[in-house]
Amino acid sequence: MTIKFPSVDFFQELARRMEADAAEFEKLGFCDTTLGIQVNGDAPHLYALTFEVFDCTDVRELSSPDDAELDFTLAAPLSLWREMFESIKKTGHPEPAFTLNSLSHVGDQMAVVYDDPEGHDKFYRFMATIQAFVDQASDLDIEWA
Amino acid sequence: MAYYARDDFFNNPEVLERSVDIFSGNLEIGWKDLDIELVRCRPSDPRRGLTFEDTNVGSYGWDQIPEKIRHNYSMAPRGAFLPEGLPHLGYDINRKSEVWADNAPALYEESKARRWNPTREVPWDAVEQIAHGDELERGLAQLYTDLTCMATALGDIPSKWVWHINQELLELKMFQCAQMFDAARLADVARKRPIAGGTGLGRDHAPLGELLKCVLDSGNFPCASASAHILLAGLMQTLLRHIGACSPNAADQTISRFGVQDVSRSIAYGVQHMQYLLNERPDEATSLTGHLDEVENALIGYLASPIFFSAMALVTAGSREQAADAVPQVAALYRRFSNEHRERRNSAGIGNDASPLQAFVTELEA
Repeated sequence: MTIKFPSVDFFQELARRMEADAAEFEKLGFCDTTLGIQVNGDAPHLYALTFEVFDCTDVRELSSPDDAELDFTLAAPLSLWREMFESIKKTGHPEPAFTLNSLSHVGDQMAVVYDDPEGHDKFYRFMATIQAFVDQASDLDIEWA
Repeated sequence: MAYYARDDFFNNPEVLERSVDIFSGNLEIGWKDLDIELVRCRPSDPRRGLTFEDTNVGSYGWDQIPEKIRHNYSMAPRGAFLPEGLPHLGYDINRKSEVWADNAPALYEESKARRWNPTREVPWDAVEQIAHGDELERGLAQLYTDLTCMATALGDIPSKWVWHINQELLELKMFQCAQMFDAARLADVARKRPIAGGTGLGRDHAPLGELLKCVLDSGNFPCASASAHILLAGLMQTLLRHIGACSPNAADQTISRFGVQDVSRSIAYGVQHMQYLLNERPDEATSLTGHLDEVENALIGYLASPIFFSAMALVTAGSREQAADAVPQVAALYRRFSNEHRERRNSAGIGNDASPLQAFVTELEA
């Protein structure tokens, strides 16, 4: 199945896989946050992903960051998202340079945007779950926008 | 032994007579008749189970804890019947705002749910096949040695204060127990990693000791909380993130990812603790700000220490030849850390844009 990135369908598929792989995500523990995924480029997109307990319960595309209460937003150009997912595709996990932590560490590749430092720290409190969530794209056939 | 029970039970014939009477089947079961609140609690979300939030009802809940606790100095859990004559168990922190944060009960549940076991979950075979150079490994060993010391201190802070805190604040005390275990796990894995890697541990150094002593010797719990949970845990979060970003080794990736989660819960508690305290007692902001500035002074000694700075440069560059070129990256990391620290201080209500750390990083950039 080919699935377009970026799209609501793409993140809903990851949410569906998260629910299907309950044992993995239950082991990682509760995850309660609403985060933004921002894809910059000629046609920018912003998505709100809501995580509750062990699931991603809601995926929405936003027209403005003000349309949802986002704890933090991971913002990067489409080319970087593509590099990250292609790295994940190789072995099921990203190469060290392409983990969410590495990409966002100093902020010069992937920006972590937030209003409230407590929201920002949720990125780190739930890091393992969020990384495992994106790693599920490893065997998706992605059509790049 | 400093306390002697108010009765010499062993030599009291009434105690023996009563025991014999009970053992012969004459049970005293009047204790069953209690005038206490009866409630029923169920998990609001079955996937979470029965959480503290679910039992935050009526007299059992934390919402009814008074700011000044004058009615209970016993070990009894909140909501239990308290007869006359209970001994005072010596609690000397009896004020809710001294320790409370509204997120503490949920952080305790989160800590249990997100537990991990480095003994089995770190891919230790990756440490047997280290693909990076000896110099990067040596730099990592030094940072892990420092992290072991910091994690030990981060566990010592709640253990130093928890037994002073009134048992009415039980959710907070249980969160502190979780903090101790989180810190023990981090000290455990940070120490094991360089030993397993074959490089062995690095060296202790006075600037780190000065910083940790400033944190540990905080004169009251709010000062200890501000310096341990906002400053020290924030520094540890940055170091763990940096190790994850610089080391290509799968073991380091795992330690970084899970370690960051553990220290970030302490940060979340620290910020909300300050918010709760200053909402109740805004005048405390001045002394807390001054204390944190003083601990930042010791932090500068650590950040500027040759051992730490050069270990950071070595880990950032990956080799000694390129370490000098990595200095601007280390400076950029200091800027990011100081910015995040300033944001947390501001959110907590103890901000100081001209604090020693801010001034130091600005000087460094100049």
